[in-house]
Amino acid sequence: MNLILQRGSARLTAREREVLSLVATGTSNKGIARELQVSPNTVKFHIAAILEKLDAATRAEAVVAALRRGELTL
Amino acid sequence: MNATSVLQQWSRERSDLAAALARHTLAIALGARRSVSGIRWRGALVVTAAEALAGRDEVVLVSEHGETQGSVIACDLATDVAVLRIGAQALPDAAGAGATAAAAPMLEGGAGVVIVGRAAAGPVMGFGTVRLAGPAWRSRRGGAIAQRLEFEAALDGRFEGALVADFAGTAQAMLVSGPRGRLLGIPGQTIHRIVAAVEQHGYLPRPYLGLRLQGLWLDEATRNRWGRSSRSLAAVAGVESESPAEAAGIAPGDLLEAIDGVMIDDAEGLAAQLAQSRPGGSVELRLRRGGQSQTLQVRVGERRRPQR
Repeated sequence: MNLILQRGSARLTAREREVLSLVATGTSNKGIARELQVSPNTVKFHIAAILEKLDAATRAEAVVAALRRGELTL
Repeated sequence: MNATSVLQQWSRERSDLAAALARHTLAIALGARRSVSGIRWRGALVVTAAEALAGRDEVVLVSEHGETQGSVIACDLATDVAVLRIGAQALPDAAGAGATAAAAPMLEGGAGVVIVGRAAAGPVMGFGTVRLAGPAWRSRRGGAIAQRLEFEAALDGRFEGALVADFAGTAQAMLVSGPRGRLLGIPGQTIHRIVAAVEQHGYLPRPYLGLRLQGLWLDEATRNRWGRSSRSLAAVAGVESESPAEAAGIAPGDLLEAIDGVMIDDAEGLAAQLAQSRPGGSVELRLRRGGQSQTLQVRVGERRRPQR
C-alpha cells in the first residue's frame, strides 16, 4: 500500500530507483552491475541520469534527495 | 646565520611533525592525473573520502613503500567515510593513525592543525586553523558525526581524505570537502565507529526498517496543539512487505514523531539515527495516528547485501 506525493516532474524510473538504492548502501558500480545483470557502463549511465533528475552534484546528495521524495526505503 | 634561530627551529618542528604523520598516508589513484589521499587507520584498513571513489571497488594506492592494490569494503556516503583493505605487507609499521585517535582530546576553535596527505610524487603537507569546532551534528547527507569541524587552510583536491592532526601529532580527523568550498573534518570517533563495524563483520551492516517517508509542513496552530517545536514532520509514504516496519504494524499515513526519544523532522533525520543502531536490536518509534501519539517497538533488520 502506498501514498505517493510526487514533487517535481522528473520522476525516477523503477530501474533508477533500484540503482540508487544500491548506491545508498555503498555498493560499487561493478557490484550494482552484477546485481542487476547489466554492464558497468549502463550503471554509470543510470547514475548520470539520476543525478540530472534529482539536480544533485554528488551521489550522497542524490540519495538524500530521493529519501526526501519518498523514493528510497529506510 | 645563527643555527638556533627561532625561525629555523619553528620550521624544523613543523616539517618533523608533518613527516612523522606522512607515514600513515597513501595516495589513491583515480585516473592518470588525479589522486586523493587515504589514511592507514589500523592493520590493513585504510580510510578515505567515500564520495571521491565514485563507485570504484578496486584502486591502486601508493605509500612510502610503493604501490599496492586496495579493495573498497565499505562506503558510507552519509558520513563520507570509505574503508579499503590493502595488502598487510604494504605498510610494515605496526600501528596506523587510528591508534592515537581514540584518546584524542577534542579540537577547539582557533587551534593549529597539520594536514597531511599523499600524492603519487610524495606526501603533501599543509598547516591550518580550526575555524569552527562545534558539537555533534547531522550532515546534509544524513550522517551522524561526532563533532562539527571546519578548517581554514590552503589545500587542493589531493588533500581530500588527508589526515588532520593536532600539534602533538595526534590524529584528529579526516579532511573532506563540504558545500561552498568548506574544508570539513570527519572526527576520529566517527571513523572509528565505522572501522570497528567493518572489522567485526567484514563489511558495514546496514540497519533496515522498510519505511519510505515524505516531508510535511505543520502550521503554528497544529504545532501548538501537538506540542511540537519543529515545522517539519515526516509521514510514512510506504511500508515494504515482510519488513520489520510492517511486522510492527506501521502503516502509510502514520506520522513519525521520534525514534528512541529523539525528535525526527525528515527522512535524513531518521537515516542518521538509524545508522547508529545495530541490526538485530530494536528501536522505539513514536507515531501519530488518528490524532493520537503511540509508541511501537520495531526490530531493526539488516538490509540484504548484493552478492560480491
